[in-house]
Amino acid sequence: MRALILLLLVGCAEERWPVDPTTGLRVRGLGPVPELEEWPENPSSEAKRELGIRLFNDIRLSGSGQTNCSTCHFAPTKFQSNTPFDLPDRSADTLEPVLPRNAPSLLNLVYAPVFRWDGGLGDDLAEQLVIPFAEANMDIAARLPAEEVHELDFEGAKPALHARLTEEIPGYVPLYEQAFGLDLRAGDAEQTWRLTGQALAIYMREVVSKDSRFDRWNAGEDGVELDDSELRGLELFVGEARCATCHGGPLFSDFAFHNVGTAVPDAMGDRADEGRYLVSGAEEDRGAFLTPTLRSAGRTSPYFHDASEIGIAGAIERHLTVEDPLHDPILHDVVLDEDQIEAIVDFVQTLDGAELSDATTELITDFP
Amino acid sequence: MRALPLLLMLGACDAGPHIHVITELSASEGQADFLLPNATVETVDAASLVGKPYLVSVFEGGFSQGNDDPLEIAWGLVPDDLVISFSTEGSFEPGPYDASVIVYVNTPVDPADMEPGAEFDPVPPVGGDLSAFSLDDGEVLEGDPTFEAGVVRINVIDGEGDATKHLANRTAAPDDSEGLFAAFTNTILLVP
Repeated sequence: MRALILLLLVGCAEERWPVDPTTGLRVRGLGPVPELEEWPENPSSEAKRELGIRLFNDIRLSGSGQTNCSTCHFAPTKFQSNTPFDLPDRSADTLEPVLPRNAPSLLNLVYAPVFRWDGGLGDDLAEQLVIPFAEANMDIAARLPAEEVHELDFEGAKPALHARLTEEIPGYVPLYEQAFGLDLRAGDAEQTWRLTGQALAIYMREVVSKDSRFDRWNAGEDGVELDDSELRGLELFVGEARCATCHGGPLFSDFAFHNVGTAVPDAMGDRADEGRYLVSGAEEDRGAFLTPTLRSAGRTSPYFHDASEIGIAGAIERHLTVEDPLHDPILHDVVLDEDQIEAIVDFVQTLDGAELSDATTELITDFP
Repeated sequence: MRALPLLLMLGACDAGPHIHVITELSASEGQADFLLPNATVETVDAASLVGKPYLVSVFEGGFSQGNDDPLEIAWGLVPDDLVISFSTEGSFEPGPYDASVIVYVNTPVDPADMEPGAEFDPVPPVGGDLSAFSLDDGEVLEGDPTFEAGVVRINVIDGEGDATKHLANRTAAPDDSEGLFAAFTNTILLVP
């Protein structure tokens, strides 16, 4: 079966990487990011997008008035921070405590069927984008205990967000009306919560990593080449290194949960983070985390849920270090030398997407 | 992309241009203002910065943070006048280079890492640290790779001699978009 998958990935062998006339791709298992379809329940519009980007950047929507989505998901740095652990809103002054997990990039979030390192808190994108207002991250109601970064305060956050957008910053009311044709003041907190998530989701539609050099080469574009090391890395990626088993498909993720040795149990059997187990309760999920996309991974150091690796090479080595009894068996017999790892790193760096537009990373100053 | 071998560069054009990165942190009445990524301004006691470790690194233009090795680095401690002056030992061929400047205000740094010749083991900044930053992609010359906002671009131009980049803790009123863009250009940010 594995051999069949490999054949499908690499195509025929007449030329090492010929463009398949049927698919138009050299490696069909690693195709381009698909066009994003319209969401029937939340059709795109410029008004929603303009609202969404303002909500994303408005520090007045946090408990302290000092935090916005961009604090952890900074638009000019690929919607992440390049720092290990970001600060929740309450820590804006004291710098502690920090959030317990590395904030991932929001690139291609719109394609994800599941969110967060452990897949917790549902699979609805719009809901996912508004939940931080009820977490320590934004803590709009400013009533979460300072020492607790795992708590959720929906009871406080929903009415707080509604009041903030209808009474304290009423300039948002016409923006919602233009976007959704609804008067926020006539609706309830649940409606405000839902529409806020929907506006943010529309903005996220343009936060996409695609059209990488690999994609252009894969499509047979004239003049676009991968060098020898990158090609060697690709061969390993889809071959003996088995990277594509989990990091395959157009988004270079299976959106499943794997234990790759990033939360190894100590002598007492305790893990620093139980990962997916916290959501599923399944023993085999202890220490397992969501497979992140590799698109633009070369721009989103540090890596893993605990930001424990600065470079991709170290991250690959960690995958292959079997110290956890629950370590994913896919990798148990994979052995790579330094040069092979370096080649895979070179290949992964070809996945950097085309630059986001200036409008997407714009510094917003005209808030309502 | 891999970093160019430094020795090759040193040997090839020893008398050629050097790169200078001058970071001048200004303070008023002992207080220094820093921009945060969310465009708010935070004031820091300037004395708290003195003696903190800094790391200046120069990379090939368009490098991958955490994945490509620097061409040159320099560790030091922030002096009393808050001016960090860095000049490359080697000379550089014409082309784009990116420089990172990090002041580890909160991150503990092992003194062994600061020893000359120590293996480069990058430490990402955490909240409260300072980092060079620029949004000005106008500094990307035609055909050159873009750079990440957490570094600054330095172009060594053929025949123009040394290349110097000046950085400062710039700020602007948050409702002034042009001023804000300028403040986010070749600046030193406070990491949130």
